[in-house]
Amino acid sequence: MALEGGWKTRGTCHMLGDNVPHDGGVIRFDLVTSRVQDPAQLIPYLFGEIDPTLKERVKPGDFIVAGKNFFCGKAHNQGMIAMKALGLRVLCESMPFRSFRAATGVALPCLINCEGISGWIANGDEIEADFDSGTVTNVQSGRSERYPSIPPEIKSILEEGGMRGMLAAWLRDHPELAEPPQAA
Amino acid sequence: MPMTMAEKLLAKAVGRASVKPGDVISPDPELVILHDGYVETAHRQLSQIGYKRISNPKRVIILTDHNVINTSPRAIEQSRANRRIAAEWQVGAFFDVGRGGHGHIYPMETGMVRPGMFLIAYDMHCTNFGAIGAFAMRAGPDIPIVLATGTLWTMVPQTLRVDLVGAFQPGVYARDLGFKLSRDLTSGRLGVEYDDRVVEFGGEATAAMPVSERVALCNTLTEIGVNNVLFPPLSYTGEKIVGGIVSDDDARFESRITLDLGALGPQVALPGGPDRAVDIAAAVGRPVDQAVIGSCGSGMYEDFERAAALVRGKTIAPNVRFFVVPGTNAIAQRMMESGLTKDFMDAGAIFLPAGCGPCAGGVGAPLGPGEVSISTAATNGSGRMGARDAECYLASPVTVTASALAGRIVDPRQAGQ
Repeated sequence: MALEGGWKTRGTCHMLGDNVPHDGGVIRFDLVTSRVQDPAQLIPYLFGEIDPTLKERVKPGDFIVAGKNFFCGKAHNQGMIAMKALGLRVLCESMPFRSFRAATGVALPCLINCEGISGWIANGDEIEADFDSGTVTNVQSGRSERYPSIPPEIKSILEEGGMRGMLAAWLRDHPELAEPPQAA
Repeated sequence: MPMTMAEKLLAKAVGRASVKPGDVISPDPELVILHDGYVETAHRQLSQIGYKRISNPKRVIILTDHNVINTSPRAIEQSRANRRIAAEWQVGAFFDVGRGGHGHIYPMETGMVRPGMFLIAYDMHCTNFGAIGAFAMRAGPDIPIVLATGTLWTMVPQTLRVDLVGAFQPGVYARDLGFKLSRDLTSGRLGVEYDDRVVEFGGEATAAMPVSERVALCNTLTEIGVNNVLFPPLSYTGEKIVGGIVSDDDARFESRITLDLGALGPQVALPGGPDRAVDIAAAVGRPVDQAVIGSCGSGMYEDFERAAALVRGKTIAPNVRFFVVPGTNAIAQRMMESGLTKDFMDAGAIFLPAGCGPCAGGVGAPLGPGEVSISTAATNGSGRMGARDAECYLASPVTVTASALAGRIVDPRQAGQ
């Protein structure tokens, strides 16, 4: 099985700074508390509180390049659902683990240990990023860096399409779970 | 290889000699805990994919603590669904409305959660179990993965070690320390990383700290985004555990700090979050409409014992609704037998059934628009206890009770004088 869109892709970078929270940063907090899960309802508000024009600039396949502690705060996933639906990928210097697990749950590819990436990639740069190997190349300058790649266990969850795909695959491998239990 | 307590507990849960921060692991839980508010959602998600049963159902337990009083048609329907799903899944134990108690206290009280255990729970405040030296991992919306596969992947976290020295001044408790430490961590004043870290408490003052005080600390810090909170192993009733799992002397802590308990005064967390702590002087005088003691962070017998000593022979201020929420039915029973219940009721307090109380969205005691409350709730964001513009202050059970008597926020050191 392969990752939707492939592991190695090319796209434009959109730079964010350090400590961008999910709630009230990537997406409005009231959309989090109302538990909206429909990407069509979420996309209009994506990044609205950081940069209202960013949503208009991103194209499928683009990269959000963030600094330290991206998606900080509680591990809600509404903004991640919208980013996934737009075909975005994330490169950042660090991300809280709970957010990384939530992003993996919606199959949003994130390379979370790109130390120093904000220092050599600028807004609008075109890059090629291989999420399988961790290699990121700036197409214009030719500079290339290799970062820690995604652990194999998490690659397989991303390939299966996140939590739902993973659970479907598990059920195929464990068909007894599709049978009701014997009466107690 | 020297390891921290968290690393040892996680290594044990994956059957390995050692783990280190950053390792991706799928630990095997001895117990899986869900509360009443997420059973239907998890069941629906699994059913939609085709699941008709769960893995290892006997080690799954469901506790009813969020909607103990079914005051709406929706709550009644949810309770009914939970009964049906518990029977369908054939879970190890289902504690229905009015049975057992709070899911972050009752499992310790009954020995279902023990020192040295690794378990997984839906709710983030399962970190309470760190008070006795158990590691409970919060699954949140990933709980269907746990129910289907029996485990959930995680990464071994770094540990921040906090050594406690000295002793609290009169009127100061672990809850106060929790608020102050939360503020000092999120403001960066302590200069250490805390996000996604395990906070491990140690030091001479820890040994003298009862489980109720440890629970208060575990509970308060959880809200700022720590991975977990751990104390050296201790039985629920306070007996030392010989040979329990603790950090090696040469374990690698990412950071280590020492705090002097004697330097701390009573705190109040301003509306917005437990880390919005201020010295109590900054909040003294604020009139309150409602006061609540109990819930998962301050719902143990010792919490009520101290509060009862304040109300005995006195009357709650006429403008205040004062609610008492015991952590478990056994705690409520003990309060009745020892006379604490009478102390509270004579003073004009109202008892709610064991569980979360109004901290779970205002259930049983909602706040109206513009009202002010002071409570021992787990958190105090907008709308947490009813109206979005209500003001929710947090404090220790003693400060909350002193304020209920006065009708306004007061410094417990001056109360009764």
